[in-house]
Amino acid sequence: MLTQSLPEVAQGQRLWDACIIGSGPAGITIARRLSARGWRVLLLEAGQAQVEPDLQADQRGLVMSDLPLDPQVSRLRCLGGSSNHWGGFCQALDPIDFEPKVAGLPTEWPIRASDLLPWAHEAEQILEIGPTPPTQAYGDQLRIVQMRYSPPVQFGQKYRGWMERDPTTVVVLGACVTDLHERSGTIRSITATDRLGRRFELRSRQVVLCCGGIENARLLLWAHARSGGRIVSDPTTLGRYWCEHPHFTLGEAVLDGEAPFTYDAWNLAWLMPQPHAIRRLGMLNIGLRLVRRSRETTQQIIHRLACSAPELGQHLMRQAGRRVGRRLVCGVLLRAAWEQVPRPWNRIVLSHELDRWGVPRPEIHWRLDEQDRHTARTGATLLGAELARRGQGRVRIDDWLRADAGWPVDDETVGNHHMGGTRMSRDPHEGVVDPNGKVHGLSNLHVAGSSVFPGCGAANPTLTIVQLALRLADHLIGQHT
Amino acid sequence: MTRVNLKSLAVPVARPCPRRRMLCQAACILAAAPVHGALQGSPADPTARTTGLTVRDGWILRRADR
Repeated sequence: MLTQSLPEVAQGQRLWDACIIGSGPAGITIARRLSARGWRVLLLEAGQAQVEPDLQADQRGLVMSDLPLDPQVSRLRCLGGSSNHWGGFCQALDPIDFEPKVAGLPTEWPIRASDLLPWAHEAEQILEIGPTPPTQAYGDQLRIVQMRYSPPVQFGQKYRGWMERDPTTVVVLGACVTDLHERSGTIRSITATDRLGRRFELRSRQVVLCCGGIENARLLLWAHARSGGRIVSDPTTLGRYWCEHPHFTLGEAVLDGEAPFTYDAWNLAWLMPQPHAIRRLGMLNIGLRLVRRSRETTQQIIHRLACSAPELGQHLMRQAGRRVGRRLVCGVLLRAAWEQVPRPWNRIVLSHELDRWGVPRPEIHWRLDEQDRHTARTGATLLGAELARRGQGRVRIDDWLRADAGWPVDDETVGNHHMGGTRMSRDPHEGVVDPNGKVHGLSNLHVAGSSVFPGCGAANPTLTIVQLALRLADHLIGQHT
Repeated sequence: MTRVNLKSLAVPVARPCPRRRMLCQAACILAAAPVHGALQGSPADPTARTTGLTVRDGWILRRADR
């Protein structure tokens, strides 16, 4: 059932099997899984079926960063959450992303890639993508990878029919959760506020936060403060180790016809470092994107190369536009998105500004550091060195990256991939949730979504979010059978 | 030892300087030399070898490129 009437729902059901807060990819995936096993599921969405400006304004946050970052734009408060405007890029995290990479950098997960494999196929079906494509080595240090593209699946739209018909699930729109109430290590009830500001107490055996990479931490911080410190056993890491995927243009390149890259429908070819290169060079994971440019832009890039290597430039200019084998000599933009180190100072805290229901807005502290520069510079250098060594092209690294200048603010800068803040850990002192997603110290409060990522790899997070959601749902089912 | 010109990368040639570790690594990539060997080695370090690459105005080039 899909309804806007929170009062009716609050009066009609005394105890739900599961209350899921947030209807994005994680929330809907868990709700569908649990309801298929007969659970009575309450799915609360603060927004409406479509984005409405006044509700979307509740996503506003204060940002303490030198780079553009705007949660009001990147997070959507409506049915289906931010899946309503994602690009559909799907990539599994690499096995190395779960393992220790570089000494002293806290990127390791308490689980391994193999722990998510049982849910890979089902997640691929949900996102309507094919199986993991093979990778191809490009020299000793790099590998060519392929991105998978979801149509993209918009969860609210895809599963709306299911929400309207499912006999055991009730989806309530305009129901904003504003508090969690704990007693004796258990969440006894939650407070949900409807659009008119009326507050209702709802009770559920299990509670799952699926509010996204900012709101999960915000709600936990607020509930923890309101409860007098009774929600999270050790709040040291709560809100902290928050990450993004920095997105920048690192340079440009000209490739001759022998370069073995195949461009996809987005005109992109993808490379990543080999795991041993990551460890040996002290970098983190990075996705290098070659963005194929037009013939005119290719000529401009070759002209720039000719200023530094006139004979080579002239040779390439003669080749430009000619096919070598089946490929053209072409210019590319070298773009990249990479793994940021989870840092305690990159964090979400509660600001002094309140939203319409009196809940503090999030304040996001985020900055890049020298490790980011090292990862970006090393990734670009690896590609440039391999292309030159093979004689398949030349890369120019942008001035700002070579000269230790500031980060360019007129670039894409972020991927709107919000990760961390409620990170997963075995030790309650090192994270907020355990390896299954349960909040340390509480018996029935769980968190799903990218906020639990302890390290973020370089892969777009949605596929991993769906896998983790299926895994958490099966864990909950297993607990009650 | 590598003769890669890294001035335009704002990176010093590889030398055993722990505080410059990250910068040195960029030199090692171009030299295709094991990081630790190049960091700890001398100019005669047998693990470091020339790859025939150079950097000019930000372009990563072969030394033979004219």
